[in-house]
Amino acid sequence: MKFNNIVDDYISKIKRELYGIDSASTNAIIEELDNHIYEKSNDIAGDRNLLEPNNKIFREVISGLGPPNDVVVEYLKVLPKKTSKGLKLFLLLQLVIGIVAVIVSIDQFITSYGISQGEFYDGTYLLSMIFVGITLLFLGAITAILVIKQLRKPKNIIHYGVGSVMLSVILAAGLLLVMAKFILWRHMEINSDDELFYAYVTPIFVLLMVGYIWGLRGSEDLKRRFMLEEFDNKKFARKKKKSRNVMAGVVIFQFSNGAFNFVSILFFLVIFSDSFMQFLFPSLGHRVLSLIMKD
Amino acid sequence: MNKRINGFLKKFNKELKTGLLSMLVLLAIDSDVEPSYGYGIIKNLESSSKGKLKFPEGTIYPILSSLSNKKLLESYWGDPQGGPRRKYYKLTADGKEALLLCHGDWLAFYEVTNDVIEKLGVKK
Repeated sequence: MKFNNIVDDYISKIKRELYGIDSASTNAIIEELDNHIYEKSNDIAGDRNLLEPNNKIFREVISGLGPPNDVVVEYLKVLPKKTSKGLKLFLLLQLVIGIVAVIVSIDQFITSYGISQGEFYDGTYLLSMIFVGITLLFLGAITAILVIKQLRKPKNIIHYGVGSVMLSVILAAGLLLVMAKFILWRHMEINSDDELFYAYVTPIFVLLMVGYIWGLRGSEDLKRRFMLEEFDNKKFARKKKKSRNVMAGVVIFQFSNGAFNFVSILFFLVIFSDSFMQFLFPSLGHRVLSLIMKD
Repeated sequence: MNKRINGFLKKFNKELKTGLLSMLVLLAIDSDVEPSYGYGIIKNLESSSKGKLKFPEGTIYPILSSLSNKKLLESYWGDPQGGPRRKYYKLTADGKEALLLCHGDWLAFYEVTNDVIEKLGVKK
């Protein structure tokens, strides 16, 4: 309904700030507020004709509703946020990676069983493989479960944060493991065997993973607190210095998250190197390589 | 009144009203003979309090959304005679139960608070 510029400005401000809310809910909110203004203005106007622009009445009605920011803040507290298509795609990618991690872990267990039954029994290697298998199974399963939960309940944004962290941890740790191996061998001229290396390095990376999970979870909580503070106290709009700090916090968080996702992509490139294929997919990789060799 | 006291009072009043408004909205809908809608509920609360209950009217609508999300209210669009269509609200069975429980909690809290104030006294 269009009846006055003051009203239209007020309504459009609310509409603009209701980002993240699905369009059907936004339209219903706007229609309800529009009607409130129309009905109350008519009540105040009484016998006078409201079609004549009466800014005084509209200002009174709008001030009774409260500032647009306050109305929006109250709505954002109670309405579920929609998940964007981009985020949905990203979550689906994470889901696939979580499932792949679980499959890889199963492959580790199958090979471990093969080693334990075979004549080339090696306790250290076996232990290292089981350890890596359990870690991948745990992280992969949690990633997949959290992503599914996030897809089913978009309001719980924290699940997205944890899922993203888990994914990044799995991938970044794998990449660092390979890099560390090459760096160690090159600079320290260690002519060690893989088994010993993985037996020592894997627990260190598991510790790093745990630290990273809590570090990024902290960042996610921080970001949410920033956003709440921004909405609740409107410091974002009033105190420019504070708002810069808020923005800096969010940018740093997003950058660190983005950087780790970039590392994840690098990891995909590394995963196709044959030595790494042998490490991650001992049984499957070996079979694939054997087939290629036979051909 | 200095700025800090003013800020404290604003926050105190906001926190005091946050939960109570939800209960009063449920009560207003329950007591309405006609189907309830946003502006009608606001008018009902204003007239019942003889204009003493002050709150930003814009906060009533998010409360209605929140109560609907919690299935304490049912909403539907209807066309009144003349004027634009309205979103009407009515209490669900859960809403009725929630209202009774809220009311009980409020009475108990009111009584305890008064007892404490009476015992300790507010010195001027």
